[in-house]
Amino acid sequence: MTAVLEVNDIKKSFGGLQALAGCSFSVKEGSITGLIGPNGSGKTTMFNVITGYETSDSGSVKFRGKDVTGMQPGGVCRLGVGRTFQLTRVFGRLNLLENIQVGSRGVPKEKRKEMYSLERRRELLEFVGLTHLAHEKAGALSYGQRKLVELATILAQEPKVILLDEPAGGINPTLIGQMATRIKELNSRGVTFLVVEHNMEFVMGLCDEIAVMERGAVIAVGKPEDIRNDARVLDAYLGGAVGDYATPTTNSEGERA
Amino acid sequence: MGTEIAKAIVGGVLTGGVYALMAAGLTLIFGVMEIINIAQGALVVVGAYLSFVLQVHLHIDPFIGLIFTMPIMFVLGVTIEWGFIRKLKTQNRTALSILVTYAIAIVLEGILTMIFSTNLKTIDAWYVEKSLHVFGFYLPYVYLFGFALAAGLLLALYIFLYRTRSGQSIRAAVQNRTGAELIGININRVSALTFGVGVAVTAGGGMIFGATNSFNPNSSYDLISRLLVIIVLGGLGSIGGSLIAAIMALVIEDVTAVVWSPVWASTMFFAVLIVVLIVRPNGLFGQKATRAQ
Amino acid sequence: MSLQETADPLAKPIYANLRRSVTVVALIAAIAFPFVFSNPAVTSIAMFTLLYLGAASTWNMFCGFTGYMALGNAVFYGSGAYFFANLTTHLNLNGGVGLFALVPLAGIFAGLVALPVGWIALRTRRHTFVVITIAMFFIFQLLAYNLTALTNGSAGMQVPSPIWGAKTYNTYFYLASLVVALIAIGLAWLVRRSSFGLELLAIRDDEDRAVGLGVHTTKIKLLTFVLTGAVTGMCGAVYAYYLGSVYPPFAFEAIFDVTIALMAFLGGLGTVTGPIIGALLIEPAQQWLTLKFTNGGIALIMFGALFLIVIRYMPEGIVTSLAQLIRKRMRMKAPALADAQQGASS
Repeated sequence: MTAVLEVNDIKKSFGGLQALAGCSFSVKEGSITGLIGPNGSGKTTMFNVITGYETSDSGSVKFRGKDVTGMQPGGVCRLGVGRTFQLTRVFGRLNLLENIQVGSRGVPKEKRKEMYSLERRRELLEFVGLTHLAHEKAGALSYGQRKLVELATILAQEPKVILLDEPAGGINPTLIGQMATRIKELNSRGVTFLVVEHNMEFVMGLCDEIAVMERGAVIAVGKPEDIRNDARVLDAYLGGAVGDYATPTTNSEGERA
Repeated sequence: MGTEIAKAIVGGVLTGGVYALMAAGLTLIFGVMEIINIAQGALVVVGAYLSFVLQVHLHIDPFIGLIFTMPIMFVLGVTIEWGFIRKLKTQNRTALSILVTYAIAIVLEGILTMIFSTNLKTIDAWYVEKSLHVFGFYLPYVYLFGFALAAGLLLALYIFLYRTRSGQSIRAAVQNRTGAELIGININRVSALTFGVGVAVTAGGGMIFGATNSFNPNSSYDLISRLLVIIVLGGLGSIGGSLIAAIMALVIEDVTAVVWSPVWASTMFFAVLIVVLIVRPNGLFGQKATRAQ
Repeated sequence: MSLQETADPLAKPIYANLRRSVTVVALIAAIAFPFVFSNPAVTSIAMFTLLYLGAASTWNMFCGFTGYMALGNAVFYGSGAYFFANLTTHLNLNGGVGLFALVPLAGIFAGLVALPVGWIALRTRRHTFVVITIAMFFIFQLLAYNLTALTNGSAGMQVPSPIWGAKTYNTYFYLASLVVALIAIGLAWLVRRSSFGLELLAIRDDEDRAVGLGVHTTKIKLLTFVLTGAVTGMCGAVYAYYLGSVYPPFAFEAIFDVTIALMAFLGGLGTVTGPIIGALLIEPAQQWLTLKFTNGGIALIMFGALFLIVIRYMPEGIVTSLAQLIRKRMRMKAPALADAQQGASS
């Protein structure tokens, strides 16, 4: 499988703080790749650099071989990369259909009319299961529902790669399961995912491959089972103690393994 | 020509100091509360009238009168904050605060017009007409005293902000409002305090303004326009920035009056802002805008 | 793309028809007004109301939709006024209906002025934006005093007076103001319904995210700002023609911006009908106040106090608050109906 996203030796510091210290990894096309690491390891900063919300001090980001380092967020999005935010962002005073409509702006001109259409927007709402709230203001929805709206909005642009920043954060277990189902569904349609998450069950059960960050650099890459038992990873998280992370008994669907 | 320019520079520095004092209060309020107090100009005029009344009716020297006017203005500031600003909902806060303080300015102007009418007044004292003769320059005493007062009050402000607990609370709130709240700083109290202090300094500024200019309730417009220019020029929230900006802008204005024409001097004052903003959209010392959140 | 398709209780066909009929009736009433109430004092107030209505509507089109608070639109009002005065003076034109054709030109000029002003102002954060618009206002007011070659300074400029009789004088201006007001409202309405308008609203809610989604925020902000400037300029031109003269403190009046802002807020920021209601309420009141109270102080206090009351108790504005109230009542009355309309949950 080719790498749809390549991050090479990215360095980024904020004043005296080195957030990213030569971070490198790649995301294979068609995969669901996880990006995990303890708090402060630089995951969200990495997302920001990839999607253009921050500029790196050095290093490169390539999307499908094309160098997108330092590109503005609008440009990155137009290339087919969508992202969600750790603190879910929606257009609060617009209703759901309108939220999705704003998302259609990033679509190339030829396809825009089709993307703006009411049917298309309803389709997306149905995919996230919010058709019954189509005319509600996004700001009035619950946190979990807003997460789904955020997802639907970026889906409006038919992204080829979606970066999810803590999709399972702050929502109830049922919704977490639904989120995982939707990600798998989209993945089966060919969308690549890069997921930052702290919920280990979610990540382990969902991802084909996992990259682990610690203090601004990637320390391990591999399949979930390998990462689970990797000494460096355990060390980074737990300081050496072998805990429940070694063998989870339930997967991300909440079912017994 | 050389002496003319030198005089203009000195004059600019002296008046700049006074404007810096008034602007410091304004930028401090913004830094802590993220609101722009449009009423600052009107409050300066209120301060001027207070000093005027004390001087004319009670024959109290304006500088000494500050002992009374500053606390009064402090209370006025706290009242405004508590009565109008605090009640603003967080959504669209800055925009609403601008309109609210603009409305307050209008009300203040109305009250002053009713009490004092639009006749021009000025504050009198022995030093208003006299000057210090040094190195061939005539430095009006009132400007010197005014500058000294401004310097003194700014120093006091600095000490307050950097050496007292309340001051530290204010600075913490400037840096990170939520963070400050989380470590137990009472944001309401800090806001009221900041607003009070920011307005109290206008008592000093108002007094000097009243002594060096003839004023009436309408003077607030010109004042607030200048103060706004200064705080944006210096970078919103930066007291040091507003100090430098005030002196810079006033010096440029005074020098323009000498070198080009007095008619264009005021326009130049505003033009400086535009020129700087084209190059540095966040002012001289404003925070660099991050790309996105 | 219509945004009207909605399960919103207020969008049922019966209400759409109601809105349409009200609009038609209002339009007819507005046109007939000066012929029915021909008292010059009344038509004069009505004319100013329409001009402010236009200025407030177009102000709201930019500020209400994007959330950027511009307090310097008097720049465009005055620019339009002075352009009109200059053109009519230099071309040695005579007063008459034909001069109204120059009003759109004044609008174009004001729009051109709005281009650099907007470009400079919109590069900054929202807080700084407000200050720049205020600074621009003072710069232009000063220019009006100082660029005597163009503006005649404080001596002001004269505009050719039309030779209509005193009885019908106001009628022409009233109708011209009505046209300008309709242009302003029409433009705001078109923008509101379009996806362009939707993106402006998105900017208001979360500009950075809109940028991240590929919205050309700078372009659309600037475009809207220029349109607002142009319409405001037309208002200024009509005003100049009506008054017969243009002076710096009146063409560039500090309280102009606060007034139109108040109208938009009172009526409902971000709505199309809001500024209309606001202007209809405030402008006649303001005119009456200035006539009644010769001591300017009281008028100022009342004006400022009104503003404070509105912002404190009805920051959403009349139209929005009313709509919210009606929707709440309706949803309470027929919850079963509402559920049926919204369809099965997934």
